[in-house]
Amino acid sequence: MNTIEFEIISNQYVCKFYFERRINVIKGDSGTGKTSLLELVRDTSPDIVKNISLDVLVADDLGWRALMTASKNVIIIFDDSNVIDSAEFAKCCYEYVVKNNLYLLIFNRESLKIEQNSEESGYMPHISYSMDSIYRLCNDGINHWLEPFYNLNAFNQSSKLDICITEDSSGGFEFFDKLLNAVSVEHSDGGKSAIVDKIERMSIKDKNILVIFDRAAFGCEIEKFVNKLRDYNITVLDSYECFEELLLRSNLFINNQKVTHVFNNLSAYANKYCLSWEEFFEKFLAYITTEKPYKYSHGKKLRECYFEECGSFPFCTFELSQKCDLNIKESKLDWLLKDTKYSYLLTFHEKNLAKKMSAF
Amino acid sequence: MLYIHVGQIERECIRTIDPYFNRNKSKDWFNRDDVKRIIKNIDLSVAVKDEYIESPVFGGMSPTKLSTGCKAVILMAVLEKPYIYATKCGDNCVTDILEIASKKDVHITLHHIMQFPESGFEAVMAESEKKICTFGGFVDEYYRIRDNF
Repeated sequence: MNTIEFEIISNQYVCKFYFERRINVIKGDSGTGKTSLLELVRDTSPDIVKNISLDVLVADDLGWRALMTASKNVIIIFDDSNVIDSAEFAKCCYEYVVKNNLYLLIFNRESLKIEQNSEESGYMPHISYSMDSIYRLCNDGINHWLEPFYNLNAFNQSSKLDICITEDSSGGFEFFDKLLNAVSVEHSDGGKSAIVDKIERMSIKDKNILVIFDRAAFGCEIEKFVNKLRDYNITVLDSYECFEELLLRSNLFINNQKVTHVFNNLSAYANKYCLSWEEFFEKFLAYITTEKPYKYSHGKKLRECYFEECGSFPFCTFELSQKCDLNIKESKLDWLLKDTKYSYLLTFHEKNLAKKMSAF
Repeated sequence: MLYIHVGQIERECIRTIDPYFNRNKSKDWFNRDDVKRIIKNIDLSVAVKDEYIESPVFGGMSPTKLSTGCKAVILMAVLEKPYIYATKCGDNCVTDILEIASKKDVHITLHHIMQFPESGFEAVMAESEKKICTFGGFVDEYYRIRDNF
């Protein structure tokens, strides 16, 4: 199943939308019809038309855990829930959402970030959910639909760029540092939650800043990012899921049938195996390169194969090159990205240019 | 004055807006001009008399069908010492919240960034007792307090 359809029609209320990820957050103004939607979900009267891909259950603060652990193949709605920022909720999401094929529609304005002073003991990571699965419920009186809650300035080929900040401090940073060699590239030095503080510390309000973060897992951070940095000239990569997604869309895999097949059925594959698409892309890239010289491991140093000409670095020996399906005798970064979704990044790549010294 | 709490929700704070409102509502509330205005502003509905409300979509309806945000703001208006979990309120409630808080003390807890106006309002961050009067000031103080729990 690629996309979940959600359509409810009554004589006074029509609601139709689609979503494709496991965890979806809906926020926005009061009085937009959320309560009416829930009443119609619960109503089994024959005059109400429901075209919904899966059965729908509504969780309350007492019974939500039982619903998540015992239900399978359903959409669960959390309405103004008081549990979504608890470690127990995060634990249940990681344990049951994929296993039980659950899709969550969360009507809350709070972030799913776990409260630091949560009473539950032990470490529990924040829930990885996409900033692109945060929506606003809109209406024209009768008709109701979802729109993206966050519309950030999308970076494009004509954008000016002075500095780039990356969430990634390992392979992703290394790659962008070499790719965007015409500008200064720095990493947040603490992952996604450190990006805002890093930018504020740098005093770069007058600069054009490209921030590269994993949209597929930035749901917990986006509210702070948008509100704290609203006086900065910031752009982000349009529909950039994560670094691994960029590599998978590169020319390195353009003739790989597995990759093509997965991208043609992305939500089906990603949702089948992982709670977040970021995790899926990491695992998928590692899987399809596992026996290749350009093997990829998330969080590890990136092999030179991704940015150096084949045969031009010590690791790429003659013996190894005989076993490799790559033999690119030109600028590897150019070759990787030209005519791809991310080819405009090459605007800031100057061939034969040593890394520009940071001016900051 | 508006007092904004951003830490843990205290016991005195009304968090479960709908059941509290439905249990405690009084027909007199809906004859008040300020409550009529709140219902009109937030839910685009008209409080005709007592508990009879007319919605442009649903026609005649009970106050129990008002949105949670609208109920929360009505509680701020009618309770003597309101202390409300205002993360249940959408951004279209801000004008009414500030209007009520300009006439009496209103305590709210926020666990999200409410879109206050850029300037022209006053509030006190309860945990730090810092006075704020701009949206930027609110955002900075909100994260300063919450990031240092």
